[in-house]
Amino acid sequence: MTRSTFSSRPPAIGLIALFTCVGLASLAASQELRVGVQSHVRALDVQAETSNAGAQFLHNIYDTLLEIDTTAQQLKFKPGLAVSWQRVAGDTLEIKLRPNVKFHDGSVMTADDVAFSLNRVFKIALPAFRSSNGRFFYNFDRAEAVDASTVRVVAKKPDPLMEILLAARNAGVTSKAHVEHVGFDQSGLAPIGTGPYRVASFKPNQEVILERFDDFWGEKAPLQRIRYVRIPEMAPRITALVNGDVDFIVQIPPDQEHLLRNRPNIKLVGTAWPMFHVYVLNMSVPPLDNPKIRRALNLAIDRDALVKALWDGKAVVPKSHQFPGTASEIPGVNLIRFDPAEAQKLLREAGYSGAPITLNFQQHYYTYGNLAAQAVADMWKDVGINVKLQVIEGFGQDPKTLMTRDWSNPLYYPDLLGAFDTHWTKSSWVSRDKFFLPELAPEWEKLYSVIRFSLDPNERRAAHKRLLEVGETELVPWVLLYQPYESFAMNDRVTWSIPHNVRPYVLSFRAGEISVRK
Amino acid sequence: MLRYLAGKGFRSVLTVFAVLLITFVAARISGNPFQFLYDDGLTQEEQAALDQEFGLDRPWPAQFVSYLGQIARGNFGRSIAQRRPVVHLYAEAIGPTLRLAALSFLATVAIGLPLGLTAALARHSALGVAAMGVAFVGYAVPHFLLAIILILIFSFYLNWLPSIGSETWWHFIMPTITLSAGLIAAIARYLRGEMLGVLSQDFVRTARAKGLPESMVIGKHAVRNALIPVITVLGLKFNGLVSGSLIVETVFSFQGVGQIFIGSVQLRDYPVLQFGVIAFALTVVVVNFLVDALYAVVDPRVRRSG
Repeated sequence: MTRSTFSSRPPAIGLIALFTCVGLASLAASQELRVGVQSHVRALDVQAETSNAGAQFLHNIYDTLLEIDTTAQQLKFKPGLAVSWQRVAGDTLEIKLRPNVKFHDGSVMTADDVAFSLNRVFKIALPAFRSSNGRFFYNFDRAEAVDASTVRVVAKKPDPLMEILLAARNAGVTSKAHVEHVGFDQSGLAPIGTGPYRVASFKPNQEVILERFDDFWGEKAPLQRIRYVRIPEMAPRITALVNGDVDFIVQIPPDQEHLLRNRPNIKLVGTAWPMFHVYVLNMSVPPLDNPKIRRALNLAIDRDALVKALWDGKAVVPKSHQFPGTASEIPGVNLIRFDPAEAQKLLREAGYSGAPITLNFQQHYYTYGNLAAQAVADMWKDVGINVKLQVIEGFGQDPKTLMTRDWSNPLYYPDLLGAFDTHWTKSSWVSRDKFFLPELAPEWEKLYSVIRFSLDPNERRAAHKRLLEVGETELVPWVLLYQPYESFAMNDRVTWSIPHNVRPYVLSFRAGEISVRK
Repeated sequence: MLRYLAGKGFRSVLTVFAVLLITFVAARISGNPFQFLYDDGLTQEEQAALDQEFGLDRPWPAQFVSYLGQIARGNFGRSIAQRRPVVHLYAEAIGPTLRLAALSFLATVAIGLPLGLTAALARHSALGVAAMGVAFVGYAVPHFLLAIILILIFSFYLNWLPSIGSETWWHFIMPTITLSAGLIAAIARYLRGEMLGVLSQDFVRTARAKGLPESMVIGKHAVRNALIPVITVLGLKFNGLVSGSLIVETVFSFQGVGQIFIGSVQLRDYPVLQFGVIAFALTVVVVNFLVDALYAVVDPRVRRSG
């Protein structure tokens, strides 16, 4: 829906209420969904864009070989651009491609397009692909076009995660000819995929308009148009929904929900994300190079108090680095507690002399991040730690002096390693910058290798349970705060629920994932 | 007259150069832009390659000289974040910003001048007091607060006006009010003050003594003289229109150049930031130059003294 122009609008202000009603009705009539998002992206390259903001768009534009059924509670693959796939060896998948799949520019997808797209992230040709490679694809060696309808994907080592990683959106398929013709920079601004929506217009960091792609190979998209507009501030975003300027808004923290609850025509859908807000502790820098001090920092945090005070009790206090209720959870692993007396004892044993420990955080980056940092600093002071708060921006600080930094660990795919391999592996920045020194626990590498590469599920789970213990009690490279809770709010004509088994912040608007009542 | 304008022109060019130099250095002191562009940071080799690609590996003076050379050829570089010409970014967004600035300026003149005249001519009546009351409120309330109050009333509670975007004229109502309120108040206050001063001058008394009708006295003698300093104030306040638009565009999610500019500050996108600063500085300098020129036209004493 677009508002009528000034000249065509009746001057009588009393009629504006009528216009509001007309506006609501037109949501269903025009099948345009207007989405107010907090953050946007500067390019829509499916291989390069790994941010939470990008997840809002890519799912609807690009297809992967294997798709995850986002409506099923348990992990369930379904054919995407592949009609079938088969492990021909522990390290090799042979994939039969769906015939006659069209790109948004009308050209037909080939095996070369698939191999080209995957090889972009299997090998890091540009720095822009490093994030995708490090999070998902570092164990993939190559993708080869065997014939016109077959692609073979080969891993460096036998890999239990090949299928699930190929279903990650960063393994989406784009047009080789298009990218090679216009170049990397332009292809991210005028992206070509095969998904149910094509990009009709894109203003980086401001607005994306998607339109239904009529030549889509599967069930046609339920919406004619989706317009994502960036509304960075919370109050204008909520107002825009209340006012009928948009139909759907994202990222509403608990303390703002009262503005929308019980309003006619509006409903809220919320969740505690499978994601942790985290402080990374730099294991290389004194005094944090002492594991007793890192453990003390971990034990000194009253997470229940944080969740109650900041999140209205809706965030979830972690018990270990895994998410309750997910398919991969190992039950009964209870490793995180609040024990200030034990923290003080550990500090004494470590001979802590009051050397300053800096808690670094990014200003207004994570929801309630500023408040959490202040509260945690006070909790650390309570056990005798000399804390300094310091705001940082992005990356680029000297890792030889930076003591901590805030981070998030989302579950990128439903597996034991879904929130782990993307963050706490050798290809991650925490290893690169020597924040994380897993070699200090001799067990770690062996355990990790079993979880990452064993094809025996039971062996993987047993190793993972032990790895969680080593991480939380011996290495302690992280301090997990909580699983944040956020809501989406929407016009009550919209039926949508948070998708299952995909990374947080995916806005799933494909067939079967959203409907709009007339 | 020409000497006067040449002097002003030379100072204007110096001002823009100084602003550019300060921005150039300040942006680089704030850090490297690539620290924000990659979710997991970069290796040293990748960082070095990107620095080289955008010429950031060279000493700052060399970068600055090279940038001046580029500008002289009309090339303002390409965005580090979006990797396309800076001029394209601004060109795509300039429409709504110009419309907002023009509407705000018109509102300032159309409302501020009558308000000031009313406040001066009816200064002892309730109307005059009310006019000044309105002006004071407009002057005292900052942009961001007024914007939020308007959104709260007209969008959140009444649902009368759209709170975001710049698609239709309806979208311009609240941003225009927000941006022009302070300017209207300033103009009204200055005009009132000038009018009161002029009305007590001898030549006005003489005009009345000659038996001229009051409309002639006010219109031909008083207002014309009172407007001369108001023109200067209008020019100075234009700066407020430019800086205020940055805040207003953010609050109303207005897709104008303010958003591009603020985004460039957040991402340390040097070329975009530098172009924005040059453009804003040039706008202010040109307006001030025009005001000076206009001032010389309407007041012969300035011409003679310059």
